[in-house]
Amino acid sequence: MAVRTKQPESDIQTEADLGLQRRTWRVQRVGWAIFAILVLAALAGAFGSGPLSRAEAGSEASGLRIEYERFARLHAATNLVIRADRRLARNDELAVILSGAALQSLELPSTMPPADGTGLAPDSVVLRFRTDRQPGELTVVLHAKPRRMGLLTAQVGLRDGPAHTIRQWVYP
Amino acid sequence: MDSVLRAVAIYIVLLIVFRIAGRRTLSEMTSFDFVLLLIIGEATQQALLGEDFSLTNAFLVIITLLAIDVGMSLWKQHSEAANRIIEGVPTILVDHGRPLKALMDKARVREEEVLEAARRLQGLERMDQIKYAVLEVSGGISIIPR
Repeated sequence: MAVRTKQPESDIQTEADLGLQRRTWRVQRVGWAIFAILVLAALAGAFGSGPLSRAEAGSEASGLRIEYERFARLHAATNLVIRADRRLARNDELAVILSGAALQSLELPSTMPPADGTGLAPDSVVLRFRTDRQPGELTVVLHAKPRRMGLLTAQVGLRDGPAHTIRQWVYP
Repeated sequence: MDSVLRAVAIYIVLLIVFRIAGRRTLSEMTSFDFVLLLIIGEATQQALLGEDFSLTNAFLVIITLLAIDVGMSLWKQHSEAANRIIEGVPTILVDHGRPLKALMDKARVREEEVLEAARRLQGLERMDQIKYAVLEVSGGISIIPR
């Protein structure tokens, strides 16, 4: 719906330039559309927290599942939910092994429940959680903060058990 | 998603709160009003950003606020009713030199303020020189001399 009206020819002292103004309006319309697309994408989770961002590694069959955010943001909290089958615990202890980017690029301020112990293994850390003997699923939540942007690849596994790779894109 | 929802919530709350507070509140700002505005900004900022200080979050919050603002302006342009509800309507406060006392009280405008606007904008000296004084939607008073 282009406006075809001409500016009145007059002796008013302005820098009116209808051509430039129309181009500006056109650019603004395009910009609004981009705004709308970005907001909808953000609602869907393309920039973290939302359906598009929800990801899961592992499977019920392997006994280990990791729910995480596909998209995270630099220095902003992101959760990893680790669900493990009780049968994968050894000596009433679940040992979660983190390696890869999880070590250098993720700050791990806390876990829920708190780890009962930590240990070192080659290129990885071990978080140990005592368990009781009831059958079922064990859930550990890692509260992490990415320290580096870009693609992070980390491995989350259990001692003497399955390990899965998670990939997380970290926005600045 | 959180960033967008937070921005939408803040926008709506501020819109409603400022509409309820009335238009004389932040136009004709005194220095105290200015300080108040800064404090409101500070309080809002926490809620807007949460614990997430990433560029992406700031960017999304800004884009969302601007997108709602553009959307609202388009809505107001197309719907007279929306415009009247969101922006309010002008009010005539002085009619041919006669101050409409009841309306001025409701609008929280004193006669002295109308006279000040008359002096400032039109160089008028007395109430009877004013044809109309109108409290505009923006919160300012415009004066039409006789």
